[in-house]
Amino acid sequence: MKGKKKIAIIGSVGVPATYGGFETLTEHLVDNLADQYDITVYCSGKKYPKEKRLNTYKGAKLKYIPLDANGFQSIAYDAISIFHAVFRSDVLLILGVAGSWMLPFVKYFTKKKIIISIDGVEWKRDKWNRVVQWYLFWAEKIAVKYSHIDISDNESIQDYTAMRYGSLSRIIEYGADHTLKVVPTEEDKIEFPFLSKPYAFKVCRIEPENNVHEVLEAFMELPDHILVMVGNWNNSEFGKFFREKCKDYENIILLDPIYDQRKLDAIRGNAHIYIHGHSAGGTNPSLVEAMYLGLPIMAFNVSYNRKTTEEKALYFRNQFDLIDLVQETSKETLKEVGLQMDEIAKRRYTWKTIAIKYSALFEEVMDMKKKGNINSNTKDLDEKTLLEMNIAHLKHQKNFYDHKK
Amino acid sequence: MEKNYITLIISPLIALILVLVLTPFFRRIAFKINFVDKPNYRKSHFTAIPLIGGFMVFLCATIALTISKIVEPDFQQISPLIIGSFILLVMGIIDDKVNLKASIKLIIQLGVAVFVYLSGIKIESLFGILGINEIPEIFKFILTVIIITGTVNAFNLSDGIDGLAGGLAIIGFTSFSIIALVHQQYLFASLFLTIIGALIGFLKYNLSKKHKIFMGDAGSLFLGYILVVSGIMLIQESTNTPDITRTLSTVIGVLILPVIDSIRVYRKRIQKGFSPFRADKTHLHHLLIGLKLEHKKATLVIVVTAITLLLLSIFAGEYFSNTATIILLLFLFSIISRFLSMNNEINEWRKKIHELENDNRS
Repeated sequence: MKGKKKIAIIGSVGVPATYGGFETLTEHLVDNLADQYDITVYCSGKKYPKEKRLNTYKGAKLKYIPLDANGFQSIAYDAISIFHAVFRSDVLLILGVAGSWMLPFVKYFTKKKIIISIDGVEWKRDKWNRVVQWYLFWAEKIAVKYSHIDISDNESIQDYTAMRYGSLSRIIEYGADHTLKVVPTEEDKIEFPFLSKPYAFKVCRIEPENNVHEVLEAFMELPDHILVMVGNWNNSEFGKFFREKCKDYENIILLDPIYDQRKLDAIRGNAHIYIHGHSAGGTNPSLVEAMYLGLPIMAFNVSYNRKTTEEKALYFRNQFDLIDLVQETSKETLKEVGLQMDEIAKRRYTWKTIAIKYSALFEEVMDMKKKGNINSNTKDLDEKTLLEMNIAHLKHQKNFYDHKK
Repeated sequence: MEKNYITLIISPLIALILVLVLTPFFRRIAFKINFVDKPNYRKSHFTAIPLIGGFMVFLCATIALTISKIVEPDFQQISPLIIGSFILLVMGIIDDKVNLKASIKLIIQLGVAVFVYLSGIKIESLFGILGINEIPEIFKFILTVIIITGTVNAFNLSDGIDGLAGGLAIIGFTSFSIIALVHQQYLFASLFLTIIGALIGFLKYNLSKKHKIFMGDAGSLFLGYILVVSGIMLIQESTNTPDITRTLSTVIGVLILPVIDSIRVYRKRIQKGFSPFRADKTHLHHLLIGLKLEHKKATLVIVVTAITLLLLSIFAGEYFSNTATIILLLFLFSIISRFLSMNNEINEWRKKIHELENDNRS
């Protein structure tokens, strides 16, 4: 038997995971696939000091690159990881597009297979300035063009890549079954008295993109309903402004970030309503986790959230919608929504399922020579010739994203 | 010709005053005979605007030149300039009124270019660009016709936002006036200065809110024509003098921005499988508006870019070969336009994604 296929996972901060979505994903890929594949994970030397570094972790080899995995340094971090991986691995699984400028070289000069996860429409996010947006916009193009397979984490992102590049993105979301269902103890109830009453809960970065203001303004009008919101309130003027403004509202409780996973799960797992205000492109791990906890979800009405929840959650577009939802949704409906979320999460958002999808791609990519395009070649033919042959319909092909219009 | 010094000042002044005084009168006529530009989806104005700018500039400059008796004695020398621009003006006016076919316009422009060549105004050498100097007669013909037609069209297309074509023309004519004065070609100098005078009057109305007029195709065609043909004439006059490099790099610097921008736009359209003459929103000024600049600021940015390219061209012409200068200019321009194009593409996709995100029917 030939040795195991060598897979490099590039672009996360590293494992053991203590950070965000990509790191949790990497950890669970290692968990589920290390028996099947020879996995190397590239980790940030900046986040793992020398004494904490490991050679292997759960059967995966670890390599440390002395740069930050996020921010400007990620451009070099990813590129160096890619360069290193080209000599050692058969398949490069790249998370994020920051280092994609290396991919044309990899594709032209080596036979290594590239799978890239483009992680939402990152270039569009408000938090980046214009130059960064330009770079990410370009990097995404290169990433899709020079990869063998690209991965979207949401059906709407798949529509977008199909429209822009004609590429058929594979949809792989995130798992959520690492989330703990915690019953609050007496101590928790003393620390957080609101636990004994029904409350709505939201956790997010305090940014306009997450509709923090809409949610707060809705609950200012709803004095009988308690809102608990966890986030980095002191990091921005925006956050400080709202913290000040909400001081006089007894029903609004603003908490600083909670790093104790058990405590956070105790609070969010027992919420009466889970509010998800994220509007940025893609499937958000936090939404998937809330679904796994079987919470009744009220989500901001963008296609990403609707696809993630299979259109079965409750949706709001502004504070007025939210006020109506909170006031008028019956207990039965909330319970029903919670059960449906639970069902979807168990079916789609377990790491086992996600890992199987990745391994299927690893197998598929080994035999791929050329990346396909969803547009048929007839689209490039001359319209006049096609008309003369009475087959001009071939010029105007309907794609899967068209039915939605 | 001591009179020249006086006419150099008087003729432009007359032209300026004539435009300022006569325009309100012609504006009213334009509304009456419906000689106006109506808003449509590609246009950024919301009311009908008279298209008399080109006509006013031509009329007032001609009257001013006649009154100051500049033209009469040497009419022979500049007759190709005046006859050609008159033909293009008339064609432009008809086009503004009834929209001529692109092919008919092209044929007329080619005809005018051939006429220019036959009157002895032509590009006689490549001046060392790509290492070539002397060229056979047939290439002189082809090159002259292509450059005239191309530049006239390019200038025509640059007329997209307030003050832009007028501003670019003023930069061009100012540089040409300086060359003409240095070479003591007072006839040319007073011609250019008179047009500048008329253009300043035009810009006053073009940039105003209440009494706005447009140059129209008529104006941009004939101004582009005068610019490129007098550019060629200035080069011809300087050939075999030590000033040839400076003249050449000035003429190139004046014309390069509209020319390479239109080449870029044509190339993009052909690449996408469309006709190069299909109207769209990809010209430099559209790209700048994509940066969310107001129109006047966008005009200012392009005018400053044009001046920078011009100065760079003159400066580089002194120190490097003509080939290197042109490559440098092209390189700079392609970097700028590439970034701006990407910015526009981003805006476009932002819109599409917004629709995708908020699409409720699935």
